[in-house]
Amino acid sequence: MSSASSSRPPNAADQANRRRAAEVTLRLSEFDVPPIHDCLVVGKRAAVGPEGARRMVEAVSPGQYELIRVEHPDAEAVVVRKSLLRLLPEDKLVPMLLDEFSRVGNDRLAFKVQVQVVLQVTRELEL
Amino acid sequence: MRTVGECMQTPVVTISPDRSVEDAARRMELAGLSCLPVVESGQLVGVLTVRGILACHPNRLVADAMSSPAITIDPNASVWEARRLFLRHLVEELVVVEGPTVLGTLSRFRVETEIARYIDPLTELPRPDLLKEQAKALLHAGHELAVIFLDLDSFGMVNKLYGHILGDAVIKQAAGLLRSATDPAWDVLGRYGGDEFVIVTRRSAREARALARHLVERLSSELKAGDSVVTVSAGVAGGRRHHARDGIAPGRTLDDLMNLASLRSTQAKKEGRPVVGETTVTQRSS
Repeated sequence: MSSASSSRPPNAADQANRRRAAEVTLRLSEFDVPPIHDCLVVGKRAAVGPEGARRMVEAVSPGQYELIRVEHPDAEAVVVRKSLLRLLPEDKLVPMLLDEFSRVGNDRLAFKVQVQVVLQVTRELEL
Repeated sequence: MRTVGECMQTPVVTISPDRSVEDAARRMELAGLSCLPVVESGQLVGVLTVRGILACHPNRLVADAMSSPAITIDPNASVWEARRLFLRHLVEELVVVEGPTVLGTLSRFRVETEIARYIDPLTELPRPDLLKEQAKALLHAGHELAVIFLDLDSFGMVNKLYGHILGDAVIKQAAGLLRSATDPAWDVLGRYGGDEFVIVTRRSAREARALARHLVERLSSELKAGDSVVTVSAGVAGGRRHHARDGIAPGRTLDDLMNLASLRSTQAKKEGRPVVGETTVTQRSS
């Protein structure tokens, strides 16, 4: 692109030499529903707050998530998929999430966490 | 004493909890307000303060930055009652409501500034209006009240003989002695006028008379203007319990107590007695 450096007004010849164009790139991907996988740990100064996160997941996945407010130096809440809480009790899951959040996060972040739970069951049957 | 309605901040600008903190900050700045009541479906659900905004990312919802529930107060309440609410709830802003209607907001700073008008600058003691508010709160709590009215004798002569600067120093000294001889848990001390002090006390009439005698003795032995000793006379009123009951106006009851105690101190001065007590008080309906 050219730019006029003189102070005189542009004449017809100058106008003809000018050309402006824009290059547009599109990237398409599927929107994740819900936008968080299993858990979201909300930092105290994150761009999304506990209530904002709760309303977001409630809007796209009604009744599937639970908001748990926590006492922690950097985090103020954890949003957890309810089905996960049927596999892992809250008092086991939440401290583990906060412990990991303390290692890698800070109060300005909201971390989404994928949790895989594999239950190992051994049962003895009498024949 | 001025009411909350006379001191509150208006106009009322409310905000919904699903707006952003950034939007709320802009509205507050444009309207010159220190807080916004948060209203959802016609219900007051919280209050957003400057501190709440500063602590939050601007992208957050107001719901994540507000203080909830909002502490509310009636517009007819006194600023002293407002101050008690601030101390009890440790908040910065009160929302003034009449039923479901939000009328305005009141900041702690505004209340403290207003209360300062009722403090005597020389002695830093409450003036009568503030003293009555403090005493009314005790009456509402069902405490027995007595009033001790203390009057420095011939104080006009002290000003004439030694000048007003020394006169003021004597008043300050008297206030200091009274402060050290009373117990804030039981007694509310104030300056009534030029050379007059009032103590509203939860003590019984008998204990109040004993305290009055002790105060008169102490002041009369320690209070000096130049080479002269300044003596003190006291009157005491009160005795029965004076609960705030239906049809009984606490303010009028207090006025009666103060008036009687004042008349008794005049009587004490005339008769040359240190303390004259009065134990019969009529409760006055409004």
